Amino acid sequence: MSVPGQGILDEPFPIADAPTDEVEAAVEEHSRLVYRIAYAALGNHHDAEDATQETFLRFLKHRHDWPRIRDRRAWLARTAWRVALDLRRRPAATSLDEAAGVVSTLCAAGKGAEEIAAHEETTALLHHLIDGLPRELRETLTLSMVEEMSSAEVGEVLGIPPGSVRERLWRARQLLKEKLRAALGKKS
Amino acid sequence: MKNDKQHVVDDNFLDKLLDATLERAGDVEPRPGLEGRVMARVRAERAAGSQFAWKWRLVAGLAALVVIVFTARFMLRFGSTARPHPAPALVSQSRAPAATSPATATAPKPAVEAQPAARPNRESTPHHEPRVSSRRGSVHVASAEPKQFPSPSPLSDEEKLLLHAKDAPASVLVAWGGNNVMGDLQLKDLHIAPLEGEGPPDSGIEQK
Repeated sequence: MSVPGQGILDEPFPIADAPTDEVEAAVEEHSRLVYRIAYAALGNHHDAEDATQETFLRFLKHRHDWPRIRDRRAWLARTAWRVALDLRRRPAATSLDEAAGVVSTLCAAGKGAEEIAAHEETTALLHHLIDGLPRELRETLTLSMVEEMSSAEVGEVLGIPPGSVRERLWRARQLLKEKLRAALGKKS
Repeated sequence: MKNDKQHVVDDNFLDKLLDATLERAGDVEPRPGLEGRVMARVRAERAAGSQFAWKWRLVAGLAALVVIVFTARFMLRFGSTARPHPAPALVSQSRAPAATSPATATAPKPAVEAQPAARPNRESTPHHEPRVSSRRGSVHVASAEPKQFPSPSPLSDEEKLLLHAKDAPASVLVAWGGNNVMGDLQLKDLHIAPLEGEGPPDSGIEQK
């Protein structure tokens, strides 16, 4: 036998904090993307995690703007990118010459590309080389390194059309390859 | 030829190395528990923010209270001193007509004795301007509080007559019992004066 109003009585009382719930949902859904963008820009886990936390704190602070945010994923990606750029002050742990020497030695030893790429020094060398690129190419390449991000999303973060993103990516790769060749040839 | 082939191999190798390195750089996994740490930071920041908001509201409320209290005290203190006291002259003027006898109500309109220069706070209290009393016959602006309240006013003719009547003997008062006592006396005085060769008397009452 059903009691009138039983449905209302059975509903859980909304004791949880609505903004915190919303942030929690956003963290579960987008924290990976935010972290990867931060890592691509910063190059180490510690700073990337700091940037991730800061990004979601900014998301909480802008809760009054949530209704106006059309695409939360793009908003978080853009914020993570800016936060990471702000945090990008620490000098790299491995110097360019040191990383280039290790990679050159691995190449001379006949190691495969996948095996060499797995080394930490190769990643450090790559970050050094990317840092030497012009700013627009560096930003485009860094954001494109994040797997989840399409050319359209990268363009939305940077405020450029997807065609420009692809064109910058091609130029960035050409420059990066030249710099990599120069770095390895100098050490060999 | 061999150098060209080596260059091509190197170019291909560099492409592969670049692709593999870029892929690895982008395919990074966060350390386990990232969501929990982020949420813990968010909750801590939110709690701190709410505490800060409460403290801020408390401080703002107290500040507003202090401002209100000081404003009220200021207004009470300086408002009472700054408020113009009603001039003594105005008090005497406003209350003096009530003290006058009804007999003076028909007195002719007199000239104003007080000058406008003696009127304090004329602009600030225009409703307290000294007025010309049509009942008193004159306006006197006092510079200090009157020693006697209500202010004494000059006696009317009827009052003077009563004072004389008080001092008169009882026989005269009995003789005045009729309705035409004054008329008879006046006639009598007027009648006697020419016989003695004197000028017309000023008043029959004075001769008596």
